[in-house]
Amino acid sequence: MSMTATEKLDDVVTAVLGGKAVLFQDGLGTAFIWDVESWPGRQVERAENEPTLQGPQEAFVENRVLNIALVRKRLRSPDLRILDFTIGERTRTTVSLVYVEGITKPRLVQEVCSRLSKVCIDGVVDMNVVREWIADAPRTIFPTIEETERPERVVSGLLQGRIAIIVDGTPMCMVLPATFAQFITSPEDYYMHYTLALPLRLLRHIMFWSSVLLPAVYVSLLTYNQDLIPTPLVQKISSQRAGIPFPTVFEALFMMFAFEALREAGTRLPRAVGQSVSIVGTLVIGEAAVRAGIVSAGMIIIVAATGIASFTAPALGMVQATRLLQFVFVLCAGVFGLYGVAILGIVLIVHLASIRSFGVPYLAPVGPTLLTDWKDALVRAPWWDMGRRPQEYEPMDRKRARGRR
Amino acid sequence: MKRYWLVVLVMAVTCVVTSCGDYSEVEDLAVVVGMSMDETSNHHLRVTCDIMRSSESGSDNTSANQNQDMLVTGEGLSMASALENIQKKLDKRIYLSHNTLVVLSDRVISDRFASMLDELERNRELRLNQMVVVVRGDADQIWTISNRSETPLAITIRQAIQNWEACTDAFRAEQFRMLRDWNAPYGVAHLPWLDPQAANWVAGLVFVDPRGGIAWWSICPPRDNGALWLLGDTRNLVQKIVFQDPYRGKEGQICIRWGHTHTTFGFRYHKNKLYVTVNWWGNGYIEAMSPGHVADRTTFKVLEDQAGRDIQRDIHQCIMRMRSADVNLWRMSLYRTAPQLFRILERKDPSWWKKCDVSYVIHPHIVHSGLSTRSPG
Repeated sequence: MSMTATEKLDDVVTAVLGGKAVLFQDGLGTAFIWDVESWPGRQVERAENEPTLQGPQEAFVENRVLNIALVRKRLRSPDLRILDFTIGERTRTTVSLVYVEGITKPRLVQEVCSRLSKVCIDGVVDMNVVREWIADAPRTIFPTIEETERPERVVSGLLQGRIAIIVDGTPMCMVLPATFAQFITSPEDYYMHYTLALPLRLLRHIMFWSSVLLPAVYVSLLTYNQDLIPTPLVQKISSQRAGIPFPTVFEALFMMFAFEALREAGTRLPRAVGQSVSIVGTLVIGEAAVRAGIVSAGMIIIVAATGIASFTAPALGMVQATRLLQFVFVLCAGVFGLYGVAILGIVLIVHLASIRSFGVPYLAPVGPTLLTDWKDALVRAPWWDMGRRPQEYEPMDRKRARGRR
Repeated sequence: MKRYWLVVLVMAVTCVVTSCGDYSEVEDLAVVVGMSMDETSNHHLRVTCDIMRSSESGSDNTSANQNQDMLVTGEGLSMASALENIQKKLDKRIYLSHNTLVVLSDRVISDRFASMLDELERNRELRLNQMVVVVRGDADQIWTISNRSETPLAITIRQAIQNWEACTDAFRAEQFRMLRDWNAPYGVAHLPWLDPQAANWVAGLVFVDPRGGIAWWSICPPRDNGALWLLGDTRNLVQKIVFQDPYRGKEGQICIRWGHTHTTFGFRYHKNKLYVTVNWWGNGYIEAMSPGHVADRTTFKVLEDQAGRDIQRDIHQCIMRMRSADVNLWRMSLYRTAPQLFRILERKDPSWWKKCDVSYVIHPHIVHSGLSTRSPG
């Protein structure tokens, strides 16, 4: 049980409101605050949103102190620093900034502190409130701050020279800065042999772009660029499409809307019911729609494949971004064909290249090219070959360990 | 506000420039996979399109021969006008990008081969890898072939022709591109010759001069390889040879599989006369041999000598046949090797290729089997 002393009445009020005990002594101008609070809440449970087959299974809970303990349990370094901020005029939520002194760039710490101190709001009901206040590129649909519920992932980020922000009352933690490659990385990549992790990571990259482009390319091929379809396939698709009352682009949009509705319903409903809705939606409604001649079987396959591809992205923020992008690309494909898809693809890459996350280019280490960092971006090199921390975060101490090296 | 108008303007211009008017659903296309072209008695072009049938295809003005095919015929002064007439009979837009086969009659070749090629090449929907073949008589008789496969007839025929790719590049899929090269500016096209009555539909090769000269050359391996060798590289050709056994004095038979052969032409101009050298080089192995022969150095020498003589005879016969059919075989080769000399010869005597002396340098190399690399010795 820790104790702090204060001479400010505001601190005393905050402590009492926070459930702490305060000791006043007659004739002494100092009050002593004791951490005796005990809030009702969950205990540490398995990670639900970032499940893995291998590796640790503990996840953050709503209790900030417990979350910090989970981090400290894995990072027993005297250099671990925790800075607390109180945000929210009414809720007075404690936000902890966690970093490792000697690794994290001091300017980055200053910048994050500066942004946190500028947050001006009456209440912090969730971590997202803080995130939206401090994030770069506020209008982009791409996440610029990594979210995780896994303590070991936070520790891994801290050792890379990044900063973690733990918000009281949120079972997630923010890790920043974040690059595009971070959102395609799964924690499981580090728990399996690197030769197995390599193809899986490449697969995720391919699946990400497939989830964005697949419906759009299909629509373009069927409406403008039929010459690019293999001849036997033209015959099959043409037969499938015969009798469908809607143009391909509307058929695609209709199916994508239906898929998103099912996904949303499955998320909102209780788990047992949600699974039933998904099964009914995918099997029964899909089959019935094909039989009724409302959509073609090929479109069902494409939309289902796109949905599966989008689920391979480990980060929820990135999945949501691809969901939105799919619609934009399909609309563009319906108007301009493959030419439009290519142009929009270029615009998307230019946009990604323009994003910065706390000064770090979003497409690093690909753009700007930092070849040494590719070992843990597009691929995953063996641990013994990753002797240096990622250059993109400009850590103070480049070497991971000084032992035999 | 100006910025928004600029965005609208850019969008509108892009819409127009990217020809979003090309929008058409795949089921609204009549996908043509094969075309045949004949010349009618009134010098019109009769085009028959093999249209891939989807489940809802069909029209009163069309006839269907098989499940996968729908044949539509139209006439016109040119290919474009004939296709326009075909379009009038269909309720779907004719789509030529998937066309794989163009069947020409000999009359079309004689009368309008150059203009036909020009039309095929200029049509922006047609791909360059379509296969151009020739039929003696009416081209549309090709569609009478019984098609038992699930693919459209044109594709089936093309696959049958492509099976010959193992023998020579003359049947390769990029044929139309090659044909264009051969015809510009001077050359000879070699096209597959189809006969609907033949077993595999491929009867041989047709050598076509840009002026319309045609030389028909039936191919019936393993006896008649001269034309294939003259075309350049071949692979896996089989040749049967009758030879004199050096030990027993009797005749023996041998079947050689030429793994790879290579033919080039050399030109030498000396004292106002052109000398052409045909260089042939081949590497083959014995696939079958009559029994009782000693496979030693002497026998192999006899075999190679006999093979060389047979090859030279085949090539010579082919050259003579080309000359008699008025097809200049060396036009393109000489033009590419020595364009100045070509122009001089054309100016002095356009029939130079009939009078030039031809010599042969034949290098057959035979080994024991496909796994050997050296002859005995």
